Amino acid sequence: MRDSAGSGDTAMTHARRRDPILESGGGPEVRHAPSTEAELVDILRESAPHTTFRIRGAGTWTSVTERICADATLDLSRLRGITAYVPGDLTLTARAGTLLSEIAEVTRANGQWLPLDPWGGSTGTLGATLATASAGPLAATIGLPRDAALGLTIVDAAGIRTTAGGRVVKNVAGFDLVRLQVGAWGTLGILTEATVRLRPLPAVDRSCAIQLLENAGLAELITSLRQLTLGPLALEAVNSTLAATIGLPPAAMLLVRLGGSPRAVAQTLDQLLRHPGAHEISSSIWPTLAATESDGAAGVRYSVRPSQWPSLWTAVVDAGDATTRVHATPSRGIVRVVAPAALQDRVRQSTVSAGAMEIVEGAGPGVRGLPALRALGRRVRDAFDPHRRLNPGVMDDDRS
Amino acid sequence: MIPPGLDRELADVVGTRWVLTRPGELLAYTSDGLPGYRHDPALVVLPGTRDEALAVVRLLARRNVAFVPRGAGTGLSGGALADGTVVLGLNRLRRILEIDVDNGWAVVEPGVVNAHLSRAVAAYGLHYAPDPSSQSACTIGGNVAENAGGPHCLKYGVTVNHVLALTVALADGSVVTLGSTEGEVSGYDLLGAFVGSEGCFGVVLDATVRLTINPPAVRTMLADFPTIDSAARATSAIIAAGLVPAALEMMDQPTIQAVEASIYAAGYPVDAAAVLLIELDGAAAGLDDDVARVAAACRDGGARDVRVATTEADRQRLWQGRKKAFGAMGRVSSHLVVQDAVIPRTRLPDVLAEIGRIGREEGVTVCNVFHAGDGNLHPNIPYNGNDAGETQRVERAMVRIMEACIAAGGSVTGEHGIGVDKLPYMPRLFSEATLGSMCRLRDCFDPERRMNPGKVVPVRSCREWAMSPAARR
Ligand SMILES: Cc1cc2nc3c(=O)[nH]c(=O)nc-3n(C[C@H](O)[C@H](O)[C@H](O)COP(=O)(O)OP(=O)(O)OC[C@H]3O[C@@H](n4cnc5c(N)ncnc54)[C@H](O)[C@@H]3O)c2cc1C
Ligand SMILES: Cc1cc2nc3c(=O)[nH]c(=O)nc-3n(C[C@H](O)[C@H](O)[C@H](O)COP(=O)(O)OP(=O)(O)OC[C@H]3O[C@@H](n4cnc5c(N)ncnc54)[C@H](O)[C@@H]3O)c2cc1C
Repeated sequence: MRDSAGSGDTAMTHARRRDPILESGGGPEVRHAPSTEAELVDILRESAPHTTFRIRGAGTWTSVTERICADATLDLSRLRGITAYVPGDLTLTARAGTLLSEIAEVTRANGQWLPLDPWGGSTGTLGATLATASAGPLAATIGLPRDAALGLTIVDAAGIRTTAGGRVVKNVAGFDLVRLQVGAWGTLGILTEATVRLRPLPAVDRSCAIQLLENAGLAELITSLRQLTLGPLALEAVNSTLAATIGLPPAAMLLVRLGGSPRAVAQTLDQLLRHPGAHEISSSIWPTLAATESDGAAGVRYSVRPSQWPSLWTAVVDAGDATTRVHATPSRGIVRVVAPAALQDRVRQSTVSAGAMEIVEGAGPGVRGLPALRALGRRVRDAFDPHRRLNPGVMDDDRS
Repeated sequence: MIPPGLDRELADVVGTRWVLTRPGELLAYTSDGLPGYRHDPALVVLPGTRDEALAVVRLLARRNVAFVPRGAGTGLSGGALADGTVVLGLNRLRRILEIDVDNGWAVVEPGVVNAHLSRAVAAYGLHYAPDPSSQSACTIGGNVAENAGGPHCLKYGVTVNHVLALTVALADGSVVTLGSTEGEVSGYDLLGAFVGSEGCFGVVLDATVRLTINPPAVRTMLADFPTIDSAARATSAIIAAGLVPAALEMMDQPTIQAVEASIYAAGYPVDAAAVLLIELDGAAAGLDDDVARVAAACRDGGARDVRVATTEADRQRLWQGRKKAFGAMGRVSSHLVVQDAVIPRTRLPDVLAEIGRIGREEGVTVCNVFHAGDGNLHPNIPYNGNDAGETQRVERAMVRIMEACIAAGGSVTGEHGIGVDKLPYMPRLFSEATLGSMCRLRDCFDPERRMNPGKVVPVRSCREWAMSPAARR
């Protein structure tokens, strides 16, 4: 382990001198806050081979990193800034510590966006969002973080810099290390820079809410939405508690977001508003919904094949209480519950009969599945971080 | 190279008829869609069921024999060739196992031909979106292994965006399911890593693929440009206007002339320097507004004419010319190099100008037909392969073109893969450390490198990586 009084002109000592916040940041371990990739490389190379590191972006999701027991923290929040943006290519390159909000601001000025809307809002970093593959309602139609990431720069556990993918929108040169790293939670390397694919902002962005009448007729409702002339940008169901939290009447609702040309959106909205209990709402509901996350609340996702989600939804909503926030992405078959651990147990029991798969968020999901898949996952971890230096305890298959 | 008696052991699994060993029978397997490479396999085994395929993989594991999976053999990077080893042909596994209309997916065997799947689900108003120009022949297994693209991938994404789950046999004979139809899985995205692994990670035994709802309305248009540069600039203007066409393809004059001189003649203007074939789809309302905006962008960019297909037959004809363009070129001369590179879209005008210059300097005819919206180039050169001097000039031109694409910040393949053809470019694109990471990933799936040996990553890189203990720390 490297000690804080370590000699020389290192990134760590710089960080300590310059940033009192980092010093008071707590935790018994050493904190490094490199402001360049080269500094990060030095930190990894100069530390003893068995030093373990907790990786941190903006630290907005501290409940995740606190589970990690490590000798030192690698704080990437100084490794920030947009390094390339070519609007005509719809691509942007930024360092890992760049905030999603900063990217949103710069791209909006060019009529473009990076359509990643993870729970927690846009106060997190690009690196963490890709590393954790965090996604929100837009993922159902626009894509997942793995689809947005075109290229990555990675510093591995041995302090070796590698790259994955590139800056072009289509690329099959070699094995796909981008997809391997996205969602690997930093256990196969630290992301230092990413090139992402942008999209044109829809000309208009309008939304409506359709009240879910006592959870009945869900399947029919979703089927009828499939016949819409314009496919929605997002479709998310919220339970009454969550609806009230985001300023809607306290009733279970399906929120629909439409984007596209004014005429197509207007026509589709007309179709939607014919549903009983439907009314137009402001599209600002979406950032509000994303930002309702409170750190420390346990999020658990359950998933089934999409055609079975109505029964999963009903089971989960019924198992919760007045404090439970439940929302769901029907087309992905996902129902997500934000509730204290005690209540999660009750919910879990209700989902067993629905045959749902479970993902405990933030626990750093283990590599689960049948033995052959677990073995494969373990081999991957062994190949890239044999000594478990990076985010130890995360993505190991003995945890679940 | 293969153990004696292997043919008989394989015949016990699949039947004598399906083990090919005679030179005449093997001939069809000595090359793929890129006839410049010829490798002689020791034998070809053609299982008829997934169980047989798995039994073959296990037998080859027990006997420690290297092998190369193969679909329809339409690959354009020399990826499905076996040099003295075994070809495992999967094109007899062509059953569609399940069509789930409610959830919008199908489970298919690897040998199902791409276009057959769309045909099978057409009655439900669905189709399989990735549409390589070879779709009437290539297989889903080959598409998964190459992460194939196609004209409509501009809007709908490439193969990986349409694969939900794969059942895969690893080289050691174990079977894993990557991905899931039951929503999410936790753990590394090994499904994403597998797609595009060019037969080096495992054999696809079945694939669950997403089916896409047919768009309610489609408009297909052809814009005619007096210069390549104006067509390239119009491409950027369309994208910059915030429009995402379903497809945005470009063909230059030599391509147009080859197509028009063939049975695939589509009525393209033979005097145009380049045409853009543009398709818009989606809700009928507003679609004609978008058509007008695209047409305006083309006209502002100097298009002489923009026409919209008025009937389905007209539309099919416009597409036929594009999809059969490689074939049309193949008829012009005895040999054809088909290339595949990607550049940032905004670099199209200068890279196309550079390609034109290289062609003139080397005295070869470059035919450009490509996915302009993605910046995915296909500079192809028809030539006489029996003329040693011309062959040499063609090779030199191709290397120069690929170097120009790399210099423009691009990549040497957008959809055809590395195979053996692009191996020499890999060290120019990636550092030794990055190539080492690719090898480490491959070794997780197949530590003995028995599957498709010698492909994708130059062997030298892997060896060096393995020898360096510091790097492995
Ligand atoms: C309260 C709250 C709850 C959330 N809950 C969920 C949820 O349940 N599901 C979901 O999908 N998203 C969730 N998010 C999503 C979260 O918004 C994104 O992942 C986000 O952008 C985190 O950014 P950050 O920089 O603050 O990450 P941090 O909190 O700093 O780190 C998050 C994780 O990413 C790793 N990491 C950070 N940077 C890197 C890097 N450069 N390279 C490798 N690894 C790195 C960390 O080790 C840590 O495990 C939540 C966010 C908040 C604020
Ligand atoms: C005229 C023409 C047009 C083309 N147009 C396009 C295009 O628009 N877009 C595009 O992307 N490509 C295109 N191609 C290239 C080619 O069709 C694709 O690469 C296709 O995906 C190959 O499929 P295949 O079944 O022929 O595979 P093969 O050529 O047989 O094999 C290709 C690779 O896949 C591996 N493989 C095959 N089956 C399996 C399996 N079941 N499991 C594991 N590995 C397997 C092989 O080992 C090999 O590495 C074109 C080719 C031609 C000849």
